[in-house]
Amino acid sequence: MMNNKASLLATIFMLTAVYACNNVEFGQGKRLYERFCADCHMVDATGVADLYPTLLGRNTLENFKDIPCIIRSGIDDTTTAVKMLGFPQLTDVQINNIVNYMVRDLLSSDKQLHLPETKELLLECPVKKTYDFN
Amino acid sequence: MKNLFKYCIISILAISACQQSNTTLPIYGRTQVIDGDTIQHRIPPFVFVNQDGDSINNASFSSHLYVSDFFFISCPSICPKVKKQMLRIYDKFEGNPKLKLVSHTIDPKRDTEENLKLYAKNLGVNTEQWMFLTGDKEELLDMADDYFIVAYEDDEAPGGFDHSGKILLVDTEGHIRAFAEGTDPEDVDDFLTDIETLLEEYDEQ
Repeated sequence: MMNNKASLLATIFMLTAVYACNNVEFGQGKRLYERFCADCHMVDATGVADLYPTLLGRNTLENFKDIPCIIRSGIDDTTTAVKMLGFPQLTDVQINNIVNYMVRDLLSSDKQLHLPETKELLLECPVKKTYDFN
Repeated sequence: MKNLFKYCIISILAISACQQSNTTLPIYGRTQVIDGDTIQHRIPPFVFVNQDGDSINNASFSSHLYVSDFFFISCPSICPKVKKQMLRIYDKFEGNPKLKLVSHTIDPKRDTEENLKLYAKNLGVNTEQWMFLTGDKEELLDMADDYFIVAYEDDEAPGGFDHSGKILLVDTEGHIRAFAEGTDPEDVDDFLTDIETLLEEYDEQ
């Protein structure tokens, strides 16, 4: 009887731990990545050739510092057929969470881009054409 | 009695093995009977223009199998996933002179020959094997219909068009012999096998 109770408790504890892992840290970043980025850059960030560039291969935090402004304003590049448009509806915090999800979960790095720095990077970022996402 | 049972099992195995080795791909689409003749669905006559401005019609594929899809460059929803699978098919059969890939845009206004050429370059593919077609918008949308692809203009849809992400295999007679959901990599696994099956069938002829 004690054994059953103990194993039940252990199971509940484990389920709670797993649930917490999946939902607290970078949970919003993951959800936003999947909603706004994954269609083109793929859930696993592998992209499609040079059409939708992979996010893998950016191996230092420094390499991620162009991303906040790209998310907000897009890229106007004449050498690519697909023009990435921006997502100005995303707040500084949301963008910060997406970038940290990329850094942490896609690249298994334990470094983080801190919000004040993201805000700084977004300060000079122009708002251009946007996607009509619903 | 035991022997009879054994023979039964052996015959069943033999029959099923036989059926497997003779499998041919079906011909999809509605069949019509006209004057007693059965007419199978076929890709109707078309004339489109490729990324280099060359005119392309049915005769361009009379000696190749081809894999076909519909897309548009600024499509933000399912197109990238479908293109990833098309690229998988291209990578597998790259250099095979008997198979071509054909992507039709349904947004000819924005997807000019020049943009399609750049698109192919960004994909890193040889346009001799994988071409990108444009043309009259209504004709392109009608053609999508003949490939059983739902495509129509819809201001509510992301990017302004709604369409399905099917990938189709067409034989030298213009019959559709296999299809896959281009957004589903596992479905495309089976589709790759179908392509091989049909290529082998043509090799035997």
